[in-house]
Amino acid sequence: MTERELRQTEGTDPAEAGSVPEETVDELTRQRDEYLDSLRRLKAEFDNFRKRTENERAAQAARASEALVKELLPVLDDLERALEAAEKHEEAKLEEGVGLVHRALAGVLARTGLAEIETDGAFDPHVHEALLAQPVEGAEPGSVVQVLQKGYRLGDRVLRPARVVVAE
Amino acid sequence: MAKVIGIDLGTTNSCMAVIEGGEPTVIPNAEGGRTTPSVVAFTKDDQRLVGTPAKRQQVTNPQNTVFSIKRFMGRKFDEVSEEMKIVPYEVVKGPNDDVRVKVGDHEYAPPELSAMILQKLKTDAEAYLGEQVTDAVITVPAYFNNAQREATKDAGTIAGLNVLRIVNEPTAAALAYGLDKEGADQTILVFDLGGGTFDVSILELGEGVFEVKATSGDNHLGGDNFDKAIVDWMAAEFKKDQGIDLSTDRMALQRLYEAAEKAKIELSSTMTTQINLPFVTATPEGPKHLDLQLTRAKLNELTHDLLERTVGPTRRVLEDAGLDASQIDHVVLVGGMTRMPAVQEKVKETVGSEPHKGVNPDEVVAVGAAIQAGVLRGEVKDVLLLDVTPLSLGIETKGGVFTRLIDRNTTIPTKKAEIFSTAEDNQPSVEVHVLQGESEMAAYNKTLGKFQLVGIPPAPRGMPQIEVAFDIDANGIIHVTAKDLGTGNEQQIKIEGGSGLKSEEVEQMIKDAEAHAGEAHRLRELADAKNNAEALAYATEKSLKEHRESLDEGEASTIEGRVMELKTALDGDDLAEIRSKTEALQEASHKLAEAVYAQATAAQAAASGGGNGAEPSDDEVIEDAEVVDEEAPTS
Repeated sequence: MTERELRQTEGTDPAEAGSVPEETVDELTRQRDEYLDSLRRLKAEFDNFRKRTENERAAQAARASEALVKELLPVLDDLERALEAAEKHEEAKLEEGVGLVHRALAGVLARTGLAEIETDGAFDPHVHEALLAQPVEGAEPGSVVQVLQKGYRLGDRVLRPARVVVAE
Repeated sequence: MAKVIGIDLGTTNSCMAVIEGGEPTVIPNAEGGRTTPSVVAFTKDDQRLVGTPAKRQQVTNPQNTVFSIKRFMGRKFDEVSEEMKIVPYEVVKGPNDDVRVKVGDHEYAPPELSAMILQKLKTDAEAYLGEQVTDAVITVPAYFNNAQREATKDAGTIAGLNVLRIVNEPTAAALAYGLDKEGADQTILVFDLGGGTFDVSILELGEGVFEVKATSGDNHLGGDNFDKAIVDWMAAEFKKDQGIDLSTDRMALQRLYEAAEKAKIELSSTMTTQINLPFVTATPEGPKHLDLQLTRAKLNELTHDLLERTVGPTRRVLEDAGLDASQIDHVVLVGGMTRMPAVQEKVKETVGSEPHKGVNPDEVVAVGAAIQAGVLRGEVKDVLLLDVTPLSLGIETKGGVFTRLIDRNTTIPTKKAEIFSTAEDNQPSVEVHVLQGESEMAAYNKTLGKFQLVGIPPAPRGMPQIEVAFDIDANGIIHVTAKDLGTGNEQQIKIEGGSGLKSEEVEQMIKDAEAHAGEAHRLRELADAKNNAEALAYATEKSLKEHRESLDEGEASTIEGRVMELKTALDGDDLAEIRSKTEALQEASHKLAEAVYAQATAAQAAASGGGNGAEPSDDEVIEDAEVVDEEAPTS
C-alpha cells in the first residue's frame, strides 16, 4: 500500500506538485510589495520626523537665548548710564550705580537658575579647577585658599568651575 | 538588540558615537561634554578621576595625573625616552621591557590606564542609551603597529568591552563622509590636526576596502601650539603697553588662554576680533585692562611657522604613496584646528583640491567608528536605504508665487497634501503647475508638469476646496493629484525622473536660486502685497454692498474711493504704493466693520457670517490658498 502511494506520488507531474498556484504567487508578491512600501514609508516618516525635530530644537535653542537676552537689555542700559556718570566724574554715584547694575544682573541670572559654586573647605575637582598649588601656612593641604574666579552652576550642571588656589 | 558604540580614543580627547535610527549620534558624557579629556588621575584619598575632573586637579597632583597615555600604548621602554621627558608622571620599565606608569606604589600598564578612560565612556554611554553596552569599535592612528593595536584591544577588554574591530582613524573619517559609497578606486588624503598631534595619511579605496598607502605627520604639533602662539603675542603686547609681564600670573594666563581660544574661533568666520580682558591685573596705581585687536592676517602671521610645519609631512605622504597631488580624489579634514581658514587654505594650496566639510572635525572619527559599528551589527539594510528629494517640490500659486509642499532633503517615500482655492468668482477650472527648485518665485524654478482640474461648480472665490496631494514613491516617481472636495472630481499626473537629477544639476539649481534670491524675494513680496490688497478690496466691496444702508453716505463713498485707489495701485508694480493704499483702505473699512458688528448685535445673530468681511485674518487664508487661475499669467 505504501508502495503504491509512493508510486502515485512519483507519477504526478513534478512541476505541478512543487508549484503553487499562480494566483497565490501574485497575491504574495502583491502583499510583499505592500509591506515593503509601508515599511519604507514608515522609515521615511521617522527620518523626516527626526529632521523636523532637529530643526525645531535648533529654533527653540535660539528662542531660549532670545528670552535671556531680552532680560539682559535693561542691565545693558544701566551699564551705559553708569558709563555716562563716569564721564561726569561722579565717583560716589558711579560706585553706587555700578553696585545696582551688578545686583540687577545677578538677579536676572539667578532667576534663570544660576547659582554660585561654594568654595569653602576642601578642593573638589568636580566643581573646582586648580590653577595653582602652593604651600600656605596654617592652611590644611588640599583646601581652597583663594578663589581667582567664581564658579557657577546652572540647574544641576556645572557651567564653569571655580578657579582656585589650592594649599599644598 | 544591543547597541555597538564607536570610540575615538584620542591622545588629548576621546569621543564616542552610536547609530540611532539609522543616523550616527555623538553620545555626550555625564558632564554634558561631547568629548572627554583623555586624562586619568589618582588622588591622595585614593579616588580615581577620569576626564574633566582629572584635568581640573592636574596642577595640585601632577605626578599622579596621567595624560597622553596613547603615546605609550604598546611600546617598549627604550622607544619612549623622548616622550618620558615631557610628562610629569613617572614612567618605568616593566616585564619584557614594557612601559609601566608608576603611581604611588602601583605600576600600571598603559592599556590599564586607557581602559579607565574607556570604562568611563562605557558607563556614560550606558546611562545615555539606558541599556548595557558590551560591544565597541575603537579607532587607532593608521601608523599604529601590531603591538599598539593589540594594546588598544586589550584596553577594551579590560574595560569590559568586546572590541569588534580596530579601525584606522583616517578610514573612520572617510566613512563618516560616506566616501566608501563613491564607487571603487578612490584616493583619499586625510589631514588630521588635533590638540597635540598632526597626522596625514593617504587611503586607497578598492572594492569596498580601504588600504592605507602612506602616513606621515608630526607627533608634537597641534592646537595647543597655536593657542600658545596667540597667548605669547598677547602677553608681549601687554608688556610693551603696560610694562607688566602677565606670563607669571596664573589667573591672567588662564584668561589669556581662554581669550586666545575664543579669538581663534571667531576669526574662522570674521576678519577681525576684539580681545577684551578688563581688570586683567592690578598695580599700585590701579587696575589694568587688556584691549587688543587681532586680525585674521595677524593670526596667520603669528601661526605662520606652525602652518608651514604641516606642509613637509603632507608632501612626504604624497611622495611615499608615489602620487601626484592631482591624483587625490578627496580631502578629509579631522581635528578642531582644521576649522581655521588658514589651515584649510594651506591644505588646498598643498594638495590642490577642496576639502570635504560638514561633519564636526572633532567628532568625525567617532562618527565613522559608529558607522563601522552599525555595518558590523547589520543596522544598515540595503532594502531600506532611502533617498531624499534633492530639491523642493511645489506648485505655482497666484502672482507667480512658488508654494512649497515638500521641502528639499525630505526622505522619500513621502506624501503631503494641502487645500487650495480659486482666485476668481465662478472660476470653472484651476491649473496645477508642478515645479521643482529653491526660489520663492515659480519663474526661477523648473517645471515638471502641468494639468487642469475642470468642472468646478460656480462659487465665489476662495470657496471651492481643492486638495493638492504630492506622493513620491521609493523610486522617486511623483504623483500629483488635485481633487475638488466639493464634487469629488479629480485629476492627476505622474512625473518620472523628477529627482533623477545629477548632483551637479542640483547644485547649479541651488546656486541659481541663491543668485536670484534678492530678485525673487522682491517679486514674492510684491505678489503677496498684491494678493493681500486684492483680497481686501474684494471683501470690502462685497460687504459694502451688503451693509451700505447702515453707513452714512459720506463714509460709504470714502470707502469706495479708497477701493478705487487701491485698484489703480494694483495696476502698477509699486510695492510701497500698494501697501500704503491697502492700509488706507483697511483704516476706512474699520467703520464698515463697526457697522456690520452693530447690525449683527442688533439682529442678535449668534454667528455672524458677514462679519468676517473686512478682517485681515481672512485675507491671509485666501492669499496663501489660491491656485493660479487660467487667466493669470504663468511664468
